Amino acid sequence: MREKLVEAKGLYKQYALKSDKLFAKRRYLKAVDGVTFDIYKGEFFGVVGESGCGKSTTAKLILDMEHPTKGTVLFKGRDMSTLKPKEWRAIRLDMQMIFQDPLGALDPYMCVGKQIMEPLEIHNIGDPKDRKQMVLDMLAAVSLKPIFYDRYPHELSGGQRQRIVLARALIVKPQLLVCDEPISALDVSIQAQVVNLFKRIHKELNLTFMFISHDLRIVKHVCDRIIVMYLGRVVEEAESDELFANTLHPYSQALISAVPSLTPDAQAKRIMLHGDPPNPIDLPKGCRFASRCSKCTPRCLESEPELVDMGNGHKVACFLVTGK
Amino acid sequence: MHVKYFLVKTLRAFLTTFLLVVFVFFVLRITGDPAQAMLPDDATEEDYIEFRQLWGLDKPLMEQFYIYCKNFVHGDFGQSYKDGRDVFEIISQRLPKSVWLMGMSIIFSIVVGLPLGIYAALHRNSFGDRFIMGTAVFGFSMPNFFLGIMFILIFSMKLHWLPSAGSDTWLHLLMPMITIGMTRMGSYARYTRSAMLNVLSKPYIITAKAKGANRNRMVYLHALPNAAIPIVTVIGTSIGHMVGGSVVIENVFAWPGVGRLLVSSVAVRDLPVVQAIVIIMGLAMVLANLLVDFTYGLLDPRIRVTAGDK
Amino acid sequence: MLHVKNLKVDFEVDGRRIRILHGVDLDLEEGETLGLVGESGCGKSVTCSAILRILADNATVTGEVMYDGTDLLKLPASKMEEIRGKDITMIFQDPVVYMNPVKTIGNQITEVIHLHEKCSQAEADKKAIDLLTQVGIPHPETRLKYYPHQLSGGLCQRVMIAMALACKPKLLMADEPTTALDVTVQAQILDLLRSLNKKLGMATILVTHDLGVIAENVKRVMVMYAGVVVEEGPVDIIFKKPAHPYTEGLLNSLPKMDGQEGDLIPIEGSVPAPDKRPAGCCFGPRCKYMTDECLKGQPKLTTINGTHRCACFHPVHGTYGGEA
Repeated sequence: MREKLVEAKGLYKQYALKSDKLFAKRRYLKAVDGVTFDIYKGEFFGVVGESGCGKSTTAKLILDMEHPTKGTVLFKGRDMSTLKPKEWRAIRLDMQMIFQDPLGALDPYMCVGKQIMEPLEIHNIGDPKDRKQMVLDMLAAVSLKPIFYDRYPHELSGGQRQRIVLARALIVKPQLLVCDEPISALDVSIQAQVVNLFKRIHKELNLTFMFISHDLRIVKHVCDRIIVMYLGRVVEEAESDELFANTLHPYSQALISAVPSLTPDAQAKRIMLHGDPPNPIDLPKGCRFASRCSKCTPRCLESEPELVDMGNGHKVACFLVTGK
Repeated sequence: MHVKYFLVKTLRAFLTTFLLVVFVFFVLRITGDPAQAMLPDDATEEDYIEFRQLWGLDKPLMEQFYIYCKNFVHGDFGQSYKDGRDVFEIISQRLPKSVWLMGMSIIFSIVVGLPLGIYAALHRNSFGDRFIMGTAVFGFSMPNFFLGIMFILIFSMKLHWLPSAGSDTWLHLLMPMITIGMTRMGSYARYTRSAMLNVLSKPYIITAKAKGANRNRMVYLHALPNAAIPIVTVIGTSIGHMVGGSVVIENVFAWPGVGRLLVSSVAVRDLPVVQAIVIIMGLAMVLANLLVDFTYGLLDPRIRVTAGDK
Repeated sequence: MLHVKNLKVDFEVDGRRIRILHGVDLDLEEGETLGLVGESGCGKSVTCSAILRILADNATVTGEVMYDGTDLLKLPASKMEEIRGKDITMIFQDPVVYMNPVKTIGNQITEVIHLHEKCSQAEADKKAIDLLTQVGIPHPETRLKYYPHQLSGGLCQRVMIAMALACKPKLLMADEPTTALDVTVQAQILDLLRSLNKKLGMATILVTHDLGVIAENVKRVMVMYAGVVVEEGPVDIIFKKPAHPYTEGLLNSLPKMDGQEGDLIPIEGSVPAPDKRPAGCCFGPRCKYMTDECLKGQPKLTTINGTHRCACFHPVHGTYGGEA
């Protein structure tokens, strides 16, 4: 049995909406609506889904940046929300994150070396004399030359900025790195550089990744295990190879087939979905994918399918597949 | 329609008015004794008692407040301590003059300020732009009473072109109107310029261009309605400042409006009159703000119509 | 139908002239679909905007844009306004911000119709409804009264397409039309564009950074890098046998959906800023095949084979036909 680093148990997150009518019933946006999964130690864990599927909210819940409406998150077996501030700070240091926009994550008026050093100063890690060397080592680890120490964010390219953000996250030696669309804002030729860097760091540091992306090509390339989310729920969970070779949920099938292949004129076998992903407000009863599903049955409109393990850890939430 | 939006704004306006009424009452009573200011220096103790009895000033403060509120709700502002005339009557004689001056000043500042701002935005960094922006800074950094006095010195005393006091003709209006309007005109021009520049750089302007719209259409049909949203906010909030500023200017130009009445009433601590004027001015500001909120809602469909149907 | 010759665009920034486009040639036949691909800042969008003359005032465009026998760059502004939105139209990347937020959908569509045709409001409304039906928007009558913020990104892009089609254009330029949209919605929009292209027979220029989108949607492609066309030719040849090292690099840096493991092969370095272009070949410093010859100057776009052209002294496939 592999060691679990993160256990998300029945997570719900609702946001109350401002209503436009005077005496209307309060409406809620159900960003995350019953999500359960584990992330094992050393794993490259992928979360895919379209806008509004709750993938970023899930990340914030894992990081304890937001508190779930219901459910718990265990990190290294401990419930973050019950910890005292001091313990919380200590354990939270083991989780780091990087986001889509590296420029927004950096202080424009501080040289990047200082920014990488800052977490060490805040958490009083290492001897102050050694810190500069630690930063330089970290720069080398993300394939940047030492001269970058004195540069400012605006002097760097997008790929270099994302490396700096990565270096700042890694300098505290975290165990879990949550990446929310870390390469979406980068150019194609740069994406490959950063992806390779992620893979190398994953291997060298035995770091656990939670990698959130809408880009299935990249997710397929880097992730060991993947969950597919739709409107706040996990619809399918499987090892990466299994998921792409033996896709079970109709939504995952459509999502994967929608990715343009790199072979000219290959769009023949595409499964076309109608409409946009709906808002996670006022969801109808039944399966939340039913309105866009070509295989929808009367039963799908009646009740919501649960995530069922089909063997070897491949889980799917669809009546047509599970039969249950 | 976003009923809640308008309702909340209206409720807030009422609340503001109420707080204003309370505030005015207590502050005026804390800051000085009207009897002392009203009565001659050689007044006897009996005179004081009589004066206080006459105007109910001997009653406990809370009771005075209750009477004041009750009367206020009925639209009764009481009688002047000075001559016993009905306050409402005194003010309604003066009010039209002030409203006229205010209104004309607002119109002047908008009619001059907005086009200047648009011109400056469309000719960015040109000589005209720099000149307008320079004038604008001059306009709103100059204290307006000083500007008023300068105007009198130049146009009345030196050149004898314009009358320096009174309100009888259009010529009388000119100087006070420009004096009050000048400050606002400068800031409107500046805000209009930056709002227009901001909107003109928006992607939907490119869409309009790509559709084949000509420059005028782009500027006036596509950019201006969007730029109007922040401009209206600025205009609305500045009306408050204008009302305040007009008190001084009415005195500089001896304009027989409410502002002058306020100053003379404060001097003699004619509480009912001061109270009423401050409340009316406050109401004007509250109304102006309410009007802004409503216009804002009308101009911006994102406030009026909620996102649905995704 | 459209012949662009030696198109150059300079931007004046802080009193300095910076060249963004370095002489682009582009030919388009009636009804043809052409792909323009490249990373951000390569000049693909600027090319389209320059053709339509909708660049900002600080841009200077030189060269020749022959459309139907007239040079668009020499037309007076009022004549150009007649062509924009009628003969040549354009749709943009993020449909939501490219629509006027204070005007209704109907208002924005009928505006194009009124600008180019004499007709009553009722006729224009009817036309707008037809157009919305054509681009697959349900309940078009009610949607006319909607504001852009009430529609999803996918629907907004459909409205933009409806606007672009209103006056039966001869040429539609689609500038990253699906970049801001979800994958499943991207598939719908591309499908719509393809079928409209077939039905209405207008020529299309599809601008994108996504090679997958190119592979599936166009026959001929031009690859741009740093304001220069580096390769041009039929899609199936370029994807199988790319001649320019940059095209090869782009293809290698993308993970494939079908099989293939191992690391991605990124292009090292990053796109040079327009005011810091290297001497010689613009791709030189990032090219793994670079030789001294590459420093001599920017290679010309020359024929490799048939319609396949490439601007490289040492093409990966084929040989350089021009002089150094």
